[in-house]
Amino acid sequence: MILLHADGSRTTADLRLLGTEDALTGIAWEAIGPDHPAIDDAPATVGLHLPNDVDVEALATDPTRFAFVVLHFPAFTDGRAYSQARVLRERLGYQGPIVATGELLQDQACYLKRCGFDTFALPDNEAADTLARGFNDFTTAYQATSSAELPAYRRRRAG
Amino acid sequence: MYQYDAIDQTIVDERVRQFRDQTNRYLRGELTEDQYRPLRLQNGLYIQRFAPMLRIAIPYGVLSTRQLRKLADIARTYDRGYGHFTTRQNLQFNWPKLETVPDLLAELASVEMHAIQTSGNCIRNTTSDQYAGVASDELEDPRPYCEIIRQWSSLHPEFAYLPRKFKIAVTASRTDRAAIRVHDIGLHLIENDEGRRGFAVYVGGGLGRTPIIGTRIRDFLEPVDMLSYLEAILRVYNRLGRRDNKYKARIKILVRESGAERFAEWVEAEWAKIRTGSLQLDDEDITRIQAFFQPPAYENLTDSAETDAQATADPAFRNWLQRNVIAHKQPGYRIVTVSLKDPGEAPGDCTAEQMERVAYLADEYGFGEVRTTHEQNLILPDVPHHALHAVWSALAELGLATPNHGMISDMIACPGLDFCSLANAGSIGVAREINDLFSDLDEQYDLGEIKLKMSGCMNGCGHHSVGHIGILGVDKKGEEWYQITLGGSAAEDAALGQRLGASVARDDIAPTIRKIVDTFAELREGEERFFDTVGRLGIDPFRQAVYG
Ligand code: SF4
Repeated sequence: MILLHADGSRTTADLRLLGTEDALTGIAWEAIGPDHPAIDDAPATVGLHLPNDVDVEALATDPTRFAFVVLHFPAFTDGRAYSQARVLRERLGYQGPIVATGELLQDQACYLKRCGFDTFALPDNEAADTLARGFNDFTTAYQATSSAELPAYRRRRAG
Repeated sequence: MYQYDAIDQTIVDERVRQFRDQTNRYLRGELTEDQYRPLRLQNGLYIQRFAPMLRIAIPYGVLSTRQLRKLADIARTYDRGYGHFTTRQNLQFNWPKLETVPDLLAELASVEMHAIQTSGNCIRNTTSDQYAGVASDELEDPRPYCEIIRQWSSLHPEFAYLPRKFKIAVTASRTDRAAIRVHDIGLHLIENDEGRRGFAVYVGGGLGRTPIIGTRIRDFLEPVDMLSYLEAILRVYNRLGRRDNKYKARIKILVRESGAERFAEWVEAEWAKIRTGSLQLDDEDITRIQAFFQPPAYENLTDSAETDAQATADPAFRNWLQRNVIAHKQPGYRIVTVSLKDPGEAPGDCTAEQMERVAYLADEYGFGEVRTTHEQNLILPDVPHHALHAVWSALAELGLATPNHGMISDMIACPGLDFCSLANAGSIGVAREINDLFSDLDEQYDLGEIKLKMSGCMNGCGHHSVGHIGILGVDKKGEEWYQITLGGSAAEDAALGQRLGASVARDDIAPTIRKIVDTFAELREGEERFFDTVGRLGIDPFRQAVYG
């Protein structure tokens, strides 16, 4: 599996999303869900994976203490994870990698980045090439999100 | 009107480039039909019964004459010489070729237009009062707020893949000409008891197979808080709206299932967290946009005695003045409805030549601006009173002066079976038959305001459920049948029509409408409107008359 980063660089990694039965093994890019028995004393290297119907602000555990957070797109038309990512980045101030999994199309690349995703889990290099092409679809935007600090109406006033 | 700056132009140009690439990838087989569909829909492109259909955004219904001429050009070059104005104040072309759509979009971008988010499960074109800025009864021009919403909602990264489509309407008059209570969000600019201006916020209205009238969830919202409040509503909806069933995915179902009060609590809780962030507008952000909508250089005019004399002399002109011309904020000016309801044409259709001639009139007798209405007509917003006869003559020559505004023949109808792949039944042919039965204009005037609205299927693009008379096409074993509702309204007295009874066959629909109207004429008290008669008596007398 390829992890594509927002700056275009790549890591070949085995992103592993553990079920509640699976024990931690200590490998890199290993993530547990909020119901995992080890959730409260997971080592600092472990990531958190969340289904897209979870309210990230209502979790029993603090999501920002994990090494990375994985958010999922079961279909690219299901946009719930965009809201999760923005709340995680902009409201909870999470600084670590937010990894997108699931159906990711080139055409979503800008939206994903602007909502705070900076890592994209893809099956192979070809898929990574395709998604990366979408990063530059747009060079500007109206809205302020984690990737643009000021909305267009504020930037206009400054300029 | 609003003028693009570098930010707006870059976004639109980049969107064209992106869509060109998406279309090329699809044509090369790199995108599957399933992958391409939501992408093209976000750009207003449907694959229809006979050809693709492209829906072009006309933000809050305002067009410059330069834009209208470009649309005429496009109609000739890329289509069959005409376009169809829709109930969302947009324009549809029914015959463009898929391969040429990116070029068509590039032409639109050259006149500051686009097709962004005219379809798909995202925030659609914001609609407003067609008389915004010129209406004599408005509190303030709502268009600056619409433009602020347009920018905020365009390519919003978080809300491009909502559970379902999302429509916002804004009005600033007491008379609601924007049908705000049948929108996902309706904003009504009002003045509160302290004399401050702000919005009453309605959510969860909508037509389609489960028509619902929106509920007010906030009595007063400061204009500077408009975007943060909208964002809070959208975020709650994106998170909690149903995605398991397409027919339950609109926000109206979420509001109904959770209860409006509980829904409002969620919104307020979310809003409290973002209210003071960068989404909070400053007065300066608002005045900056308002500067684009300053009144044009009106002359000091008074009404012309000559026009009055022409009206006395010519009953046809007089009829038109009475029906299609209304008061203007500015003395000596009038607002003119350009009727796209010629009895021989499909409601809302407009040829390239008509577009060009209307553009000419708007330049000659106005300030280069034209409006589109959700009733599928056009508006010349600033016609001097002394020029009305000249404008009328020109429009009459073009078949655009049918003096029927607000009358039964000024009906709204979706494209129906003739163009739409979802249709159960035709609407254009039915419209024609009904028009034939009401060809006597004097009779129509006697009948007064009757809003007839017709959709070819449950999706309700023709707003049938809020018609004084609503007609819905249904499929019965492959045949076209029609269901009738009475007593709906999309205005400030918003209500859903009640079903009259069993649906009627294709051959019977026009005569049945005739019977309903005859019954009204018998039962009516004085000058009572159709809607009020139904309100007073209920639908039983009508049911009796139709079904015996
Ligand atoms: S109401 Fe139905 S038939 Fe009419 S345009 Fe909409 S989807 Fe098509």
